[in-house]
Amino acid sequence: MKLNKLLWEVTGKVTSSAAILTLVASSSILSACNKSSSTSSPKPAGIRTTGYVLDKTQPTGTGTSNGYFWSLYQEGGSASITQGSAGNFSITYSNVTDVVGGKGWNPGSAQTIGYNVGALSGSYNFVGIYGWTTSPLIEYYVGEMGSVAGGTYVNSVSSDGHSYSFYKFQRVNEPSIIGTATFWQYKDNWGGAPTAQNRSVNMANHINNWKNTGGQGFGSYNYQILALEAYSGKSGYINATVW
Amino acid sequence: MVKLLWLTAITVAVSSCSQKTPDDLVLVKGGAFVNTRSNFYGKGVTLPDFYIGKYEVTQEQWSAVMGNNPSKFKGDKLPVETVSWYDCIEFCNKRSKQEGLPPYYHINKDKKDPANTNALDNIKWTVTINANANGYRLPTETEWEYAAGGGQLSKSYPYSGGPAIDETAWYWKNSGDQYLTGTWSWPLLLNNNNKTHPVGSKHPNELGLYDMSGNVREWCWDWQQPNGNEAPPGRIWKGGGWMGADFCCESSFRASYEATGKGPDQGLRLCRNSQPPGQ
Repeated sequence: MKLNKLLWEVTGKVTSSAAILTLVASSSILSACNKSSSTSSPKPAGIRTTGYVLDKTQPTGTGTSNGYFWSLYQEGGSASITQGSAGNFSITYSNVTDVVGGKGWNPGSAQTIGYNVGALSGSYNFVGIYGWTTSPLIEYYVGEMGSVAGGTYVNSVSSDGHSYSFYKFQRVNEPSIIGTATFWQYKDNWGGAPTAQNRSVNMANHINNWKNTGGQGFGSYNYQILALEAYSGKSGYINATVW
Repeated sequence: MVKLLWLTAITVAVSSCSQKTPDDLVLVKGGAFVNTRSNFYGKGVTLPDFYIGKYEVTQEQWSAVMGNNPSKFKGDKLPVETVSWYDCIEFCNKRSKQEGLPPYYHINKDKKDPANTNALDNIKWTVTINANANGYRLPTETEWEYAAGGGQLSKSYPYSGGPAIDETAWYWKNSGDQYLTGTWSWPLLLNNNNKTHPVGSKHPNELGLYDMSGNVREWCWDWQQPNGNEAPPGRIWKGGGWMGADFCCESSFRASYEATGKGPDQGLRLCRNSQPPGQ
């Protein structure tokens, strides 16, 4: 469920022109994808309704810092984000219903993203790359920690020294950043990244595989971020840098 | 004798003026694209004159023709929404018949359209056009974009009606109780009671057309064939709506939706030929 919300939250960053980090919950992906959130439905229980609660940030929870785009969304409990130099940031959260935050670029590209999760304590659901395209509308995920598995397994793709499982999931008649739409989520799942190590995500490998085997083509880049999501009362801390 | 000549002259004059613009339609003078932001600018595309709705089709208008109102947000002057492309095709023909105009569409409900490979579309009527009819119809994508951009009067604004989206369009930030900022979020929109607004309540564009950016997305006639081999074809919509982001409200933005698709942000604007082709 949270992932679903996350997708909508994160996909909304359309007006800024920098990078975003996205943290996406892992185990909730499939259930989120199956959750109905059609516009005719009553407001789902447990979804974010109180906007952003931030520390040392703008109240809307998005902005630019050192040329990077950043975002933080929090519901329940408490959370704050601190901007470090360049692409560095840290998020502290406690007893959150849901928290999503990160840093990256807008628009994204088929670039090699460098990152280092220097510290990750407490509990979380997902850490990885999140982005989307328009025309066609596609949401994509690269799961570095946690899991984004769920949907229809397509194939595996090797990149950066390991193998990801590519799942795709179609969302039908769902509210989205372009309005009610039918679109696909592409999710490359790995989850084996260690902390305190310089890592890379060669987006070209993922994107080329999506183009070749996803069956939907690929659209125009919107934002692309490294993000973390934690939900269901979790508490923790992350300090990460993206470049 | 003189009186007779005058009467004849007046009759001829009145007859020639009977080409007056129908109610709620605006005559769009044709030509090449002036709007430099258009996808069709400089591509050699030239359009003939045509009529297009001054406003999006309202629920009052829809109900008068169809006898129902499928809209989520109710109000006579609100744009009709939650209508599929097929619903809109039927609406066009029914309204044409009500007004004694030759229907523009041939609708064969018994023959599945072989070109429609969208698995989510369980209707697949074969719909063809009667190009010589001047009944109501959906605009083509090129007509829509030409009109939204101001036609020959275009000032090449990004949005239909101006450079400032909040003055010309209802979209996700300004269509609810509070002005939203930051990140698009469906839960935020729900909690903020975002919705449609009465047609014609924002600034018009260069041609006097309202809400071509925002309020509800508008069906066009054309198919969009996505470039993926599994990507289902859909009918193009334009203009963005109350739910979507600002970039969707740019006149040049294009996206499609299966023809059976319905949403509370999906409506239509009518169009008509000003002259049958060849006249």
